[in-house]
Amino acid sequence: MVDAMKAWPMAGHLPPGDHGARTGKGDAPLTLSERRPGSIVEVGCWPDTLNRMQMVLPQLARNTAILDLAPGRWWVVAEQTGVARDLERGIEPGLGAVVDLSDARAALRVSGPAMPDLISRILPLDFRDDRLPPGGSAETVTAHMNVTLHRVDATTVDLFVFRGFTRSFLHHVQEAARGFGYRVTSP
Amino acid sequence: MTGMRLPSGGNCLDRSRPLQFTLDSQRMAAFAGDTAASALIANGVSVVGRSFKLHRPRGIFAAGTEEPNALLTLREGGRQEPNVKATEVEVFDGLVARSQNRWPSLGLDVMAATGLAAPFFSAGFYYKTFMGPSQKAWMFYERIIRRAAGLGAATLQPDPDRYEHAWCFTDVLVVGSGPAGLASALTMARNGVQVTLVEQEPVPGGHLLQEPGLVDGIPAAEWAGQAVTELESLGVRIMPRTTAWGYYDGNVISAVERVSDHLAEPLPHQPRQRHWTIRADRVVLATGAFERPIAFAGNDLPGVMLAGAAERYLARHAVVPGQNIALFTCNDMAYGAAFALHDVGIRIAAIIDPRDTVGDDVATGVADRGLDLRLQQAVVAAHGRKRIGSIQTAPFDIARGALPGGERIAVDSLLVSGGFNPVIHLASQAGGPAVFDRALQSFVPGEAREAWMATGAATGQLTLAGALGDGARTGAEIATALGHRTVATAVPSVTGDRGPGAMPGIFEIRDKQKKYGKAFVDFQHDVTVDDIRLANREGFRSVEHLKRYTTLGMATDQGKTSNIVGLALMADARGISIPDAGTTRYRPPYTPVSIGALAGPEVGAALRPRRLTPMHDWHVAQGAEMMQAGLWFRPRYYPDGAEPLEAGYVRELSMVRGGVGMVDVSTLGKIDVQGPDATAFLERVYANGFAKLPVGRARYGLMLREDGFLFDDGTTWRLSETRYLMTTTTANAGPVMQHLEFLLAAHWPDLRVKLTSVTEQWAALAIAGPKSRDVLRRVIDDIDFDNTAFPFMGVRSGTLNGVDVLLARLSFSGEMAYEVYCGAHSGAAVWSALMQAGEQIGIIAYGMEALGALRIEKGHVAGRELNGRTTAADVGLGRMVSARKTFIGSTLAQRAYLQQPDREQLVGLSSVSGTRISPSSHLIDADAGDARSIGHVTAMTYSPELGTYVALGLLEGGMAHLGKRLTATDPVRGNTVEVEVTDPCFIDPDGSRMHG
Amino acid sequence: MIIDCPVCGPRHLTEFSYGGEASRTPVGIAQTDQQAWEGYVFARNNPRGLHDEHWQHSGGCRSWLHVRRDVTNHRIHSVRLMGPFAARHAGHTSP
Repeated sequence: MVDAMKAWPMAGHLPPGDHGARTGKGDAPLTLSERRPGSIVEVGCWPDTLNRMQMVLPQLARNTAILDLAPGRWWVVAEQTGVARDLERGIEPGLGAVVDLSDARAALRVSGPAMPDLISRILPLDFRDDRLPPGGSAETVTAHMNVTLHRVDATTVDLFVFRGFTRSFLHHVQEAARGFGYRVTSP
Repeated sequence: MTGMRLPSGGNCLDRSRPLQFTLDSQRMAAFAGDTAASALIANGVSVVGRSFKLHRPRGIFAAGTEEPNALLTLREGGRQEPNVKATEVEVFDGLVARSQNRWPSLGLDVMAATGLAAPFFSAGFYYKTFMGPSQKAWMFYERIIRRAAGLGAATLQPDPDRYEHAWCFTDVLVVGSGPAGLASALTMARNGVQVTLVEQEPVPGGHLLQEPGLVDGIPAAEWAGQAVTELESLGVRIMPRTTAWGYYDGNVISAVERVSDHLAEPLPHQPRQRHWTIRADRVVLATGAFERPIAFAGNDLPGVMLAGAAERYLARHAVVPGQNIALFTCNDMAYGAAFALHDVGIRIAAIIDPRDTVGDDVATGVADRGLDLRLQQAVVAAHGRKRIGSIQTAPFDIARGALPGGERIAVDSLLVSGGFNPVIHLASQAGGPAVFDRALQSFVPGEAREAWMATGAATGQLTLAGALGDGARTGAEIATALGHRTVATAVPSVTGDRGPGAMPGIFEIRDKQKKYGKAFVDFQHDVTVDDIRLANREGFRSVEHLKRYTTLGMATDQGKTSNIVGLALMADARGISIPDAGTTRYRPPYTPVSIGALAGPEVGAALRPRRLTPMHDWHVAQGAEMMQAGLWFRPRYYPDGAEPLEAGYVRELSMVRGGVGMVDVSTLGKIDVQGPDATAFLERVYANGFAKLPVGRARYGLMLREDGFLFDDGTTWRLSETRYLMTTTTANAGPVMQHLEFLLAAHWPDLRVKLTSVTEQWAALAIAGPKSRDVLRRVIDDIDFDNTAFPFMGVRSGTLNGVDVLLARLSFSGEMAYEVYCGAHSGAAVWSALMQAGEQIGIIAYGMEALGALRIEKGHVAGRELNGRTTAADVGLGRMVSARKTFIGSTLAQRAYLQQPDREQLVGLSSVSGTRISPSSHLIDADAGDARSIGHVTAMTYSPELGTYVALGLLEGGMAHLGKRLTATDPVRGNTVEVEVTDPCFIDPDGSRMHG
Repeated sequence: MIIDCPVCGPRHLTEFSYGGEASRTPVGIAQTDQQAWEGYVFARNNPRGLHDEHWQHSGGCRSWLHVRRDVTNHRIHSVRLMGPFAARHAGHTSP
C-alpha cells in the first residue's frame, strides 16, 4: 500500500535505452539510472558530542553509506526504508539531531569510464589524484541547482538534487551526456 | 597582379581534399587546411572589406587573430555570424561568406564617398558634430550613422546549435603551443607534471610552422609534430581551437573551444562551442608576439601586409600575396619573408630598411640572392586605388625622419615589419603594469599577481633558440616548484636560427609636407596619425583619453596591431618617452567570445531550473494555468473551459467559503529546528513567545530583521520537547534559512540547535472550507477530528492509505482548514486520495489567485505588505510583539521614528461604487484638496460575500482614517475609484468559522 | 575569485553568498541599548585594503566563513570557519 503511494521523482522521465552519440565500440561509456534509496537521513551533532557520535553512528547505521558532509553533519544513505526511525531511537536529543530527507532528494547514478568527463561538464569538482576518492562526497552547484555528490567507486557517482529540480536536472545531465553517448538502465 | 597559390608546399594543406566556398556568391576554390584568408589570397581576391568610417577598400593584412581588416559574415539563417576574422576561419566545403560594410558591392561602394568628406571624420567627430547642446541631435543622427558605419549584422533567428560548459582542473596550464609553449610542456611532462595545453589555432606549433631553421636536426615544423606526439604519449591534454580569453582572480582561466566552427554544422550530439573554466595551479603564458606595422601614407591599401603574415601564408598554405613584392622593415627577422618568397620564385622588387646596417646572416642572405637592399631608406607612401601599385621611398635618418628624394618603385605587394609586440593580454589581466622593453621598443609582462610565468616571444625572446630555451627553463622551474624531481632535459638545439638585429623604434614615416594622404594607425576604426596629433592638440593626451577620443583600439580587434603605434605617436607628440605615456590595462576578453558560449546550456526552457511540486502533474492534467513564483511553478487557477481569470478565482473562492477546496502549498519554506536549545533559539528569533507552546501545537510566528522591520512570518509546529517544524513564506524560504544559520554561526555558536531545510521533504496541501473536516475523516481514521480533540492550531500525526501524514489545523483563508503534510514521494497520491474522498461533497482545487483573495478578505499580510519597510505595528500585529523578552530586532524596533503615528499602516479599502480597484493604485485624499499620494493599494480582490471589490493598502496614519473616503487612482492604467477605509479583516472578524 | 572553504576546499565565487562586513562584534541578545545595536547594524569600516567579511558557502556545505580579503586586489589572506566547529576546524591562512 505504502509503496503504491510512492512516486519516484525520475519515473517516466528517464526512459531506458541508448541515447546520444554512438561510439560503436561495445558498451556505452556512460550509464545513467535513477537511484531509489529507501532512506536518506541527515545526522548532526555538536562539538562536545562529536566523538561520541563518531562512535555511535557507524554502529547504528549498518549497511548504509555514510557521507561526511561538514563538521558535525552526515548523510546516511541506505537501500532500506526506516533508517531515520532507527537513528532517532538510537540518538537521543542531547547527542545530536536526526532529520529524514528520504523524500527530499532525487538521486541519479552515473557510471562508466566517461563518468569523470561527464562530471567535468556539469560540476566544478576537482577529480585529480585522490581529491575525491571512492566513499568521498562533495556539495556544489550546477545550473543554479545544489548537488550532493557521493563517489561510490572509481567510475560511479550518485548525484542528489532537490526533488523539485528533478526534471531540469535530468535535462541538464542528459544534454551534457549526449556527446559521449549514454545508456539509461532501470533503477 | 594579385596573390596566388603555388603548385606545391604548404605544411597545413591537404591537397587531396579540394573544397569550394563562396564569397558574396562568387565561387572560391580551397583545400582542407586553408583559412578563408589564405584561400581568398589564393583566389586572387584583394579587397575583402571596407573600413568602418571611411569605407576605404581593405585587404588581408595579417594571418592570425590580430587581423584588423578582413572581417566576414559567415553562414546563413540561424547560424549567421558577423565580424569573423577571415584569418581565423577554417574553410569547409560549402561555406557561405559575405563581405561587410559595403554597398552595393565590394568593388563599388557608394559610401566610399564619405572618403571625400574625410576631413569631417576626424577624431572626436561624433562628439563635436552630433552631441550638440541637446541630446536630441545625437538621437537623430545616431541611426543614420549606425547604418553608414556598420559592421556585420547578427541574425535575428534563433541559434540552432548547442553550447556546452565544462570545467578543467590541472596542475599546469600552458597557453600557446609555439616553441616556448611546447618546450615548457615537454620539460614539465617529462618530469611527471600534469599539463594541459591550449592552442587557439587548429594545428599546434605556432611559429615553428614557419621557421626556416632546424630543431634537433629536423625542420622546425616536423619537430613541432614530434613534440605534440610525445606530449600526447605523456598524457598531456592538448586542446586545439581553444582560446584562453580571460585570466581571473584565483588562477581561473576562461577559454572557448571552437568544437564545430570548422564544420558546416556540428556533428550529431556535439556542441558548436564549449566554454571551459580552467583552474590551474600554475599557468605558462607562451602567447608569442604580434608583428607591428609602420604608419605611412596609404599603408592601408590592399596588398600591404605584415611580413610575418606573408611568410606564414607561404609556409602553411603555399600562398603568395603577389608576384612583385617589396619589403619594408626595420628588423632582421622580417628578411625571412623576402628570402622565402624569393626562394619560391617570387620577384622581390626591393628591400627598404631605414637602419644603417643589418646582421651578417641577413647581409649574406641578401647578397647570395642578389636582392636589392636599400639601407637608410624608408617607404613614405603606398600608391594605388583598389590595390597597391607602387611605393614612394625616401632617404631616412633616425633623427630627422624622411628626407627629400627617393624614388617610386612599382610593386603589387608590400610587406611591412616595424618590430614585435609581445602578446601580454592575459599577463596584463592578471598582473601589474606592463614594463617597457627598450630593445623591443614595446611592452613585456609586468609583475605576476597570479601564479603565472610568461615565456618565449611573450617576454621578447624572439629567436627560435631563445624561445625554446626560455620555455624549457620555465618548465623546469615550475616542475621544481611543484615538488617534482627535475631531471635535466636537453634544450632543443637550433641550426639556421635568425635574430631580430637592432630594432629602433620606428612607428611612423611622417609625410611632413602632407603630399600623400592618410596614414593609418587603427585600420578597423580608421584612426590616422593626424587623429592622434589632433587629440594631443585638443588636450586628450592620457592614454585613456586618447583611446576614447579617437576610438583607437576600441574596434573588434581591440587594437592588436595599433595600440603600441598609437601610444608611440602620442608620446612623440607630447615629447615624452613611451613608458611615460603609459599603456592601458588589458581586460577580458582577449578575442570576441560568442554569447552562446557564455550562456552555455542555460538557454530557453533551461534558462533557469524549474522547481516542481510533487503534485505538479495533477495540476497540469487538470488544465491549471501555471505561474512562476521564484523558481517554483504553481497553479494560478484551474479555468473551467475558457473561463477568464477573475471569474475563475471568484468561483474557486466561493467554493472554499461555501464548501471545501484544496491548494498545493508544498512551496512553503520548511525548516527542521532540532536540539536541546531549540526553544531558546526560537525565543530569540521570533518576536512573539514560543517558550510556552506545548508539544502538538502550532503558533503563528513573526520574525523581525536586526533593524526592527518585519522580515517574515509563518507557523511553527512543536513536534517534541526539542524539535520544531518551522514554516516560512515561499519567497523567503532561502533568506530565512540563511539568516538563522548566520545567527547560529556568528551570534550563538554555543546554542545546541541544528537547522535542516525540509522544504523538499514534505509535500504540503491546505484543505479549507466548512466541509474540510468531512473530507479528512473519510480517509484518515487514526486522528480524532473532534473540535476539542483537534482544536485550532493543533498538530496531529496519522496515516492516510498507509502513508504517514502530519496535520496542523491552521487557516490562511479564515475558514475551517487544515494543512496536510506527507513525504514528497507520496504527495501526488495523498492529494489524489483527498480529491477523490471529497468528490461527492464537491471538493475543488484552488490556485494562487483564490489563495490570495481569501487572505485579502481576512486581512492576512503577505509579501506585498511585508515589503521590508513595515513594522509589526504598521501591519496591525503590534500586539503580538513580546515585551517580556529580547529578540532579534526588539531593540531597534523601538526607535522613535518607527513609532510615529503618520507612518504608512495597514488598512482595508472597499470600493464604494462596486467598481474594480486597480491593484497598482495610489491613495489620495481628494476631499482635502491634496493631490499627494498618502498611501497605496497592496492587494485587491473581488469579494462575492461583500458584493464589491476590496483591497488592502498601506496608508499614512492607517486606521485613524477608518470610515473615511479616499480616491484610489492608477493614472498609468486610467483607473480611479472612490474607496472607503475599513478594517483590514472583511470576513468573520471574530474568527468563529476557523475555530468552529 | 576562489574562496578556499575550510570544509569543501577551493571553490569558485559563484558558490558563495556575501554576508557583509565581519569586523563588527555581534551584540548580545540581551543588549537593549539602541546605540549599540545601531552601531552593529548600520556602521561599517569600509577600509581600503584588508577587509573582514562574512561569506556563506551556500552552494556547498552551507558553512558561514570569516574571510579576510584585500579589496584592492581581491587577494584572500585567510578563511576561517565560523560557528560551533570553528575551533576544531581552523581553516586556511595564506601569508
